[in-house]
Amino acid sequence: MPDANDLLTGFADEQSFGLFMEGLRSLQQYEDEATQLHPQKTALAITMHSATASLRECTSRYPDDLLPAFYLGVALGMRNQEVYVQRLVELKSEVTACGRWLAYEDEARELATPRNAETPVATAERDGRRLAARERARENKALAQPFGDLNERPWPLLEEASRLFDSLTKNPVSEEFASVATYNLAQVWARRGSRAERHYLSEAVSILAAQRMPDLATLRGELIQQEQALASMSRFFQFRRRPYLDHLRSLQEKISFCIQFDALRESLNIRLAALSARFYFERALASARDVDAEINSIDTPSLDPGFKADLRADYLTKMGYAYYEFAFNRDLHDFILAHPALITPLGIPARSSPSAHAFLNLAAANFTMALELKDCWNPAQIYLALVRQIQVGVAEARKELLEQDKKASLGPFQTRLAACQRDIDSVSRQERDTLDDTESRSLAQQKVKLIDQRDVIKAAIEPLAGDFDRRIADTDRDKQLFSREADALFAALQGLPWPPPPPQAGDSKFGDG
Amino acid sequence: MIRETLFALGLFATLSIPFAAQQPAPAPAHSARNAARHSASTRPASPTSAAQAAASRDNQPPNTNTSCFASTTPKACDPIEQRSKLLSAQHEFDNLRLEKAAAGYDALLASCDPRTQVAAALGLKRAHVRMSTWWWLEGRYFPPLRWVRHPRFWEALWKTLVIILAIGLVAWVMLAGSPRRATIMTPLALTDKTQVKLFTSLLESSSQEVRHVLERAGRGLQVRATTLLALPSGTTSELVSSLPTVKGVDVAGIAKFFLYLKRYLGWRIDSEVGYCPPTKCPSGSDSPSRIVASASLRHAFWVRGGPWSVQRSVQHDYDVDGVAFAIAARIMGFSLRGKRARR
Repeated sequence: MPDANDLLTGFADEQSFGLFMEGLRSLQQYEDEATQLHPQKTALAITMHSATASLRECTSRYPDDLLPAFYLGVALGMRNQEVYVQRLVELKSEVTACGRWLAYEDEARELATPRNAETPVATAERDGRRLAARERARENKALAQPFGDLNERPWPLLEEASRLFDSLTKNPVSEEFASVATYNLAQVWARRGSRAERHYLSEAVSILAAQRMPDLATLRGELIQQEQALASMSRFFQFRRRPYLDHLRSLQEKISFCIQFDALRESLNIRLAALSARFYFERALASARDVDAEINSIDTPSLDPGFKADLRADYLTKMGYAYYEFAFNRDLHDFILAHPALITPLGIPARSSPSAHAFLNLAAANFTMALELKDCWNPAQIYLALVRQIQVGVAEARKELLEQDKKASLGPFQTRLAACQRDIDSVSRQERDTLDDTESRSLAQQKVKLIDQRDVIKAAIEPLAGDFDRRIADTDRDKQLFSREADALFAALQGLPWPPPPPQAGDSKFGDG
Repeated sequence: MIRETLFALGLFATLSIPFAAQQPAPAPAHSARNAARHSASTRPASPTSAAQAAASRDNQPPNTNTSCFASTTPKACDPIEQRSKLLSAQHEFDNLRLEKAAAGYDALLASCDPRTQVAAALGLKRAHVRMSTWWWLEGRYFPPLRWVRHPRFWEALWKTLVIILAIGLVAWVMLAGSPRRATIMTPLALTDKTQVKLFTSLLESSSQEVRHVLERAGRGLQVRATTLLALPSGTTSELVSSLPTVKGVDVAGIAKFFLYLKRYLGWRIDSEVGYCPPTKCPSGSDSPSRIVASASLRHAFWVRGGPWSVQRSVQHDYDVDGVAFAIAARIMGFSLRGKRARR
């Protein structure tokens, strides 16, 4: 009777193993290319095509072999990332419009709150601005609709991957393999989950909860024992270190996997709580922070430094995605406003209110940190590119709003200044036309007074206008930075050269004339 | 045991070669011709042949050495020499080399020793009687009929059988396990532009790459490593041919023999590879260039795995990397074949 390990690693024949190895090698070559600073589009396409073709052929010809099916699921997940990036690039203007929509919504919500000791005129003015912002938000929401519908579009690759992982969890294979397949299945469902498709999140949470995992404390205890045994090993028995080191590595892998499992579960819990069960949100947030503390507490001397970096990058990316989702969740913003104790644990800056802008900043910060730990890591790159593109829209809307504010704030001063200038001009004309010295002296005094008045008005306008101009310039600079970063990330993810090569002389569609 | 094998092989060779090739015996020319005629004919040799031989000797020209210092006395008869020649002929007779025996006896008919003459006449008669038997005459066309009559035939047969059984047993013991090491034999180039050396080198490195790919992928799910491949045969052959020749013995040749023998008895990979350049179809479109390769895993005369054939579209004739990896993966996968079924 074959044991579980043989069922897992056995192959029907050499052809099956050969096809599997070709697919696996192509998949690794794809990974190597994709994680380069400037990947090549052709190489990405060739390796991904080769990987999926080999693994698909292997899976269809040898359906009893488990590893090809597992890696086909992995390859399809990676291919789906490419498709996702492609769709995002196609919807770039819609993504930007989404950013504008969020910014106008933020503005409208902020203007909805009455100021202290507000005059009726100011209230009317605020209402007017709020309505205008809401109108602009509505317009941009309509523009961004195709991007909003992205999650509800069919994702056949993810569906096939989830079917494969699902079938693997039902096979009588080793517990460890079943756990990995379950994790991958939950990860696929987590990608599909959204506000409209929240049942994916619920199912992912339920399969993760049903999976039996080894106890983390026991594993840690065992790891410490092994490390002590290794440290106390006599020099004469150095040749026996290898089995100890192998066992240590295996324990570290198990601990890492447990933590990664926890990170996925808690990130799903917090997303689900934010969407539908906000009473549970505080607890979910605390649990997610516990996972972070767990990762930080891994500090054994024998630890492979890559393990901790991978775990932390994974955690940051998952939390970054949760923050990205929070940016769209206005009910959650209200909930946080009603529970100010949540503001600090969420990482929102003090004296700030929960807004799409704040959550997008938090998400971008998480993705950036993840990329610092794991250079050119595609999931973090994709979501950072997406968030940066949305932030381009936010910056555009903020610039528009600042310009409107500037106009509104400086409007009365500008009117007074123009009136004053008109008076000066009139007095100057009269002064030139009169022949009477007394009248002329009186007009000159009047003109001096008017010029003084004009200078006073100018002096009042200048700092205010300067402040607005500086803020507008800052916003514009932010927009350009975000745009450049998003473009560079999208180019890298698609394997396109960055910066793009300058157009050749012959490329001009207008010709030489 | 080796000595016994060589003896048996030598015995068969000695028996079969003269029968098959009809090599002339190192005897006097006229005797050899007589013997050949006898062996070819179905009739026994004529009894007057001895008298004719004596007459021909009488007709020989006299000694022309007439110098006064030359001895005129005839050479004395040496019976011991004559006996030894007779024994030699008898030995040939006992070992069933009848043509040689007949020629020996024939030469001794004119012996100066009368006893030897009589014995030679008898021996010649016995030889001719035997050479007239059906098994001898038919054995010319089917040598095993003659081998069976050899006095040591059965001894040689059972010793040969023992040796074959021993070799078979050793081979069976060696074959019982999975291959631990397989040698890549120099692949056969199917077309002119095929980069055989590159393919061979990549086949070896690809076997290592298969292991690396698995190790990299198997962080969570360990896949058991399989067989190793040794150096390609082209490399080892070059090493062997660079050995010096010492005391007239071609060391390289002997080393080659043992090397090939060892390879033949061990696990080896026979492969062939061919580069097909792009061709223009009748429709005008270009079909891409391809590399086709095939390999099989063999052990002695058994084909253990394969043949596995792989075909890939390539950019140019040096683009053999993918095909080499695909072949190497199939070779390495031999150990994993039907693992579930075997257990």
